[in-house]
Amino acid sequence: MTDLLRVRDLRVSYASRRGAPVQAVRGVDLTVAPGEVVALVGESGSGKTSIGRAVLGLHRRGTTVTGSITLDGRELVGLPERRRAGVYGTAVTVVPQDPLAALNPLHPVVRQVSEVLRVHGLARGAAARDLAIDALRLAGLDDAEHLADRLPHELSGGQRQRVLIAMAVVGGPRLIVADEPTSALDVTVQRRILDHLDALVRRSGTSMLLITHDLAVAADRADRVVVLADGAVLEEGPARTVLTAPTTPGARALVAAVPGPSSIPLVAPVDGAPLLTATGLRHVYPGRRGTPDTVAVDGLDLHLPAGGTLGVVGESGSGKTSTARILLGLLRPDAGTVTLHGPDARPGDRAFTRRVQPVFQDPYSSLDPAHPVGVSILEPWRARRSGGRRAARARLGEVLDQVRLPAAIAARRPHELSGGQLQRVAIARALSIRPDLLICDEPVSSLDVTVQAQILDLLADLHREGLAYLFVSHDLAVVREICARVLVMHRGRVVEQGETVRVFDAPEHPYTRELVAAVPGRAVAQPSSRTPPTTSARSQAVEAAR
Amino acid sequence: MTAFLLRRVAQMVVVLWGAITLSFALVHLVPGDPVRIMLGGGSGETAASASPEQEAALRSQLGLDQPLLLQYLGFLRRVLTGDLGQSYSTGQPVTASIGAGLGSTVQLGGTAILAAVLLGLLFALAGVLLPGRAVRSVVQSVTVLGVAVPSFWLAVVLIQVFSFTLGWFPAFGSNGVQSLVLPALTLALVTAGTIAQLLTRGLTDALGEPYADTARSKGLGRSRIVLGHALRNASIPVLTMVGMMVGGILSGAVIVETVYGRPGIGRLFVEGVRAHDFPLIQALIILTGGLFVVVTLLVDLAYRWVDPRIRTGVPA
Amino acid sequence: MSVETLVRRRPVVRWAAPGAVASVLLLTVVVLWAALPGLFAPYDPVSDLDAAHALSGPSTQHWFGTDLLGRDLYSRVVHGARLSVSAALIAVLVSLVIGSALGMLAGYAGRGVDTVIMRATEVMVAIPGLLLSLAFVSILGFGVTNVALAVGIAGIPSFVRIARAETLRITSRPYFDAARCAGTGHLVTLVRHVAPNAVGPVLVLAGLELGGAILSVAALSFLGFGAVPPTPEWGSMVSEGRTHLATAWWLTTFPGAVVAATVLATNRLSRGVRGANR
Repeated sequence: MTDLLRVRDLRVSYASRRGAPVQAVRGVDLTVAPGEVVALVGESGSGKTSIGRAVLGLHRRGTTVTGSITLDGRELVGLPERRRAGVYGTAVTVVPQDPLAALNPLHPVVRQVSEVLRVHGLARGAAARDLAIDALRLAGLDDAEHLADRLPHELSGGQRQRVLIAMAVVGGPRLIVADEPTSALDVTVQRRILDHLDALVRRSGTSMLLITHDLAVAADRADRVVVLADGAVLEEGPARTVLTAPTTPGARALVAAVPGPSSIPLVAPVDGAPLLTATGLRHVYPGRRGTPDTVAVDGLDLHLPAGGTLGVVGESGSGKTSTARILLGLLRPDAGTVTLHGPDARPGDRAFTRRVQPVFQDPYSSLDPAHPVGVSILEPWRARRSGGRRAARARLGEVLDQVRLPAAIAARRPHELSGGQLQRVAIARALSIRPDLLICDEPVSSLDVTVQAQILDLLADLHREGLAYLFVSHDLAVVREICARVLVMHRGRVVEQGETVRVFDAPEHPYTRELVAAVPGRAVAQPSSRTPPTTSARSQAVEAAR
Repeated sequence: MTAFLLRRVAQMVVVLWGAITLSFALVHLVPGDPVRIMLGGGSGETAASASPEQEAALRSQLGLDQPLLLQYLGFLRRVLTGDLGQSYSTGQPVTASIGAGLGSTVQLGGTAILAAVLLGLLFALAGVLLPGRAVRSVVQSVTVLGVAVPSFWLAVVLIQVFSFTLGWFPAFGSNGVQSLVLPALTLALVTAGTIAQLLTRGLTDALGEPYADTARSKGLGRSRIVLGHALRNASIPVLTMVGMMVGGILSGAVIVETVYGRPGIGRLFVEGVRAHDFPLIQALIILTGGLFVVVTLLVDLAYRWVDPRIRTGVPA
Repeated sequence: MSVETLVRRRPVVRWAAPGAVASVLLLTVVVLWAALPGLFAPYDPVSDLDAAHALSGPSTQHWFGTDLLGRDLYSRVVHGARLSVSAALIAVLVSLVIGSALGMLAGYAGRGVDTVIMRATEVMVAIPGLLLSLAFVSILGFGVTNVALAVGIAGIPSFVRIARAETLRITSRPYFDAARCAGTGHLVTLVRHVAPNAVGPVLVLAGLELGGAILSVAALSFLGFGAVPPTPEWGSMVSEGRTHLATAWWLTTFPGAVVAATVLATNRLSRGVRGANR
């Protein structure tokens, strides 16, 4: 069987503002056979997206691509502009990353699908429209006739992604490049879309290059996996082999860092005195002219014991972030009360913020770029004038030590640090006044898995020292690892709660069942070999690989 | 749609009321005494020539001897009934002076805007579509000139070249189409620079958006992406600036009408300022404010046509 | 979600560009003219009358030619820089200080305060800038200082808008929420977090507005509301030269070209800084 796509010694570099060009891809070899699904996995900066863009011939100014990319023996590197139309849109198509940004906001979706046919002279007029609607239906867009004339923003995220899939398949391609096709979507939607895309390519014998950061998705969907790091291939082989028994240390660290869908929790339930109680919380975002009101939180009760760990999970729009903001006093609830026990305090009180501190999702924007991070870390401390300069300096050293950062980092600015370091800094800021409770809103969602693992270990360690946390996340596997109890939210309500392992292993509510079933990674789930006995062992494996 | 129109009209009324109030406040913001400034003519020093009787007469004519609130309410009432007072320098109702000049300014401004849009579009498209990066960047730098060149100087240079040296167009006056060319061109060149720059930026940004990549991946060529996808997206920020551009044209008309000796409300304004003719200035402020409000409403309607996202009421 | 930001917008290298270098040089010269005109001008702008060469074109003796009275045009342009540039600076300073204070207040206080400030701004925007300046000149009185103030007042709305937008952007960032949770007071938050992060875009706008202010000041002087002859000022020099348009092209061409070049240079540099900040 001859390969459909053959990549040889591919190198991609970008001109940088000062100094030498940045090497994003350093000599990658890669093949995709007809009908094969190959996953390119790696963390940010591994070069996976650059490879995808090189295959698609999308280069920006200052990009240098060398080596060879052939499709059926036809060279794509350096393909002249006028020959592009013979390849792209028909032989090679793309399912891009961000479904909203990838669609022209001003054109009805059917027109964007039929454009492929019109540009390549495959059909025109009403015939093109009919074919496009067929493709939309094929891509799983229910009621395609009705939705065809909508604009992208009038569709849901999942529907938009189906439009993009229709666009990719309508020209009858040989190869589809799927670049993080479902990363922006909720897990239940992600599953349905991937199932559908899978079925489509398998049925038509189309090859697919699946680019993803999510090893679980790769494991579920690909025949073969190529693991990338620093622009080079680390390891490749059949999906099951690479993801269950990786041979190189780098790949092993990557695999070890992924929380499996049935891993063993790092924390145990506690029965402490009550610390935080919320009763009957309700918050409604008033609708803007013409649109109905949105009930974000609808009668939520919540209880957290001292030193306890509570996960709040749900998909986008479930009200989990609004809940976190209410608990932090950043959002005033329309009804209900939040009480911090012993001595009692309410959000907004000074006594409350003294004991409850936040950690936010995006580490890059949760630290003020105008100040060295040391200043940010000590902000809660300073706001309380808890001591002199010397005491402040001592405290700074202590908390940096606690989050395992070198003391010298205090003088750096946020843009000089990595995402993982910044999130540690954010945690250090929260710890500076020795709070009883951290409220974390998706604190690891924008981090690479190896960095994520380190932050989770840190949180688990802090918990062992007596800190309680409330952990808001969309990622069930993460919550399973570090929360003893969990609360599942759906449309502003709690649909199920209880001990995490029980809720995830034997969900009672139909919604929880759907949510749990949608978590990717079942194909290779082998808990015993995947979860090392202690957290530090895992961190060491990750560290060793760096 | 009706709700939208009603809301917009309500906003229009508020802005218009603000413009009326501002024009009223202008006279009462005067550090000195408006009556003395008006009688003194020149630079606002005490009136040497006017007698106390003259002063008192003018004061009561302008209603300046009444309590402020009464003056304000009276002013509002008169404006609403279309009575904007009498020009101090000509003695005519200001509405008559304005009416005489408005047609000429509208003709000039309309021609200029049309030319500016065409020129701006031409330069922006040339700046992203012409082959060769060097050629494109030359075209783009030319548009920068449009924003930097003083309009009064451009007017003078155009007269020098096209009237005195080449003798193609008359330098002064307003007789027929011939005399419209240079003034309209002066105004158009300055505005075209702004349009071209906004549009070029919009096009460049749009070409960097993921949907442009999607279009490229469909096998579309550059010109097809620019014309079929980028242009409409890029014209949205230009539309939002149309109100400002009309304001810019009116500002420019002040200069252009003065330099080319054309009648019109721009020149009227300059003469009003020179003569400290407050009723005239007030009336022109209200007029331009009203014009802006109307243009903004029209732009909003055009917006809904260019950007269908607005129609469906979902925030973009 | 870890997404490779390969397409992250890379600012085009503007600093090294020859245009930027030329702009820096040109502005340096103009600022030196304004600061030390005596050092650059070979003649006195008002009292050196070279009657023998009255109304003569550019020559080695008189680079930009002479006017009707035989005054050296180049010296007048050099001395004119002082008034034109300082008036423009005053104007921008007025808009910057008042505009950003109001904008930050509107963005931070929200609700009623925001509504009132933004409605008032809208009213000012509704009246074309030059007309607004002219109206203020008519009540403040003529003269360069009043022209500068009037231009400054007319420039307030754009600073209100950008300062408000920046404040809203910053207050929606997580680091602002973190400061609230840290227990930092409103005023300290405003000074420590909002102001330093808003200052960049505001200063870029100030640079762009400086070009506009130079144009407006010159336009008002051209119309005869600014500098009084024989005081040299760029706008009024073009106006004076108009009477000899048919015979002495240099009288209008050179002062106007200097204005255009100066504005071009300030715009260019402001855009360069914005590109680098992005």
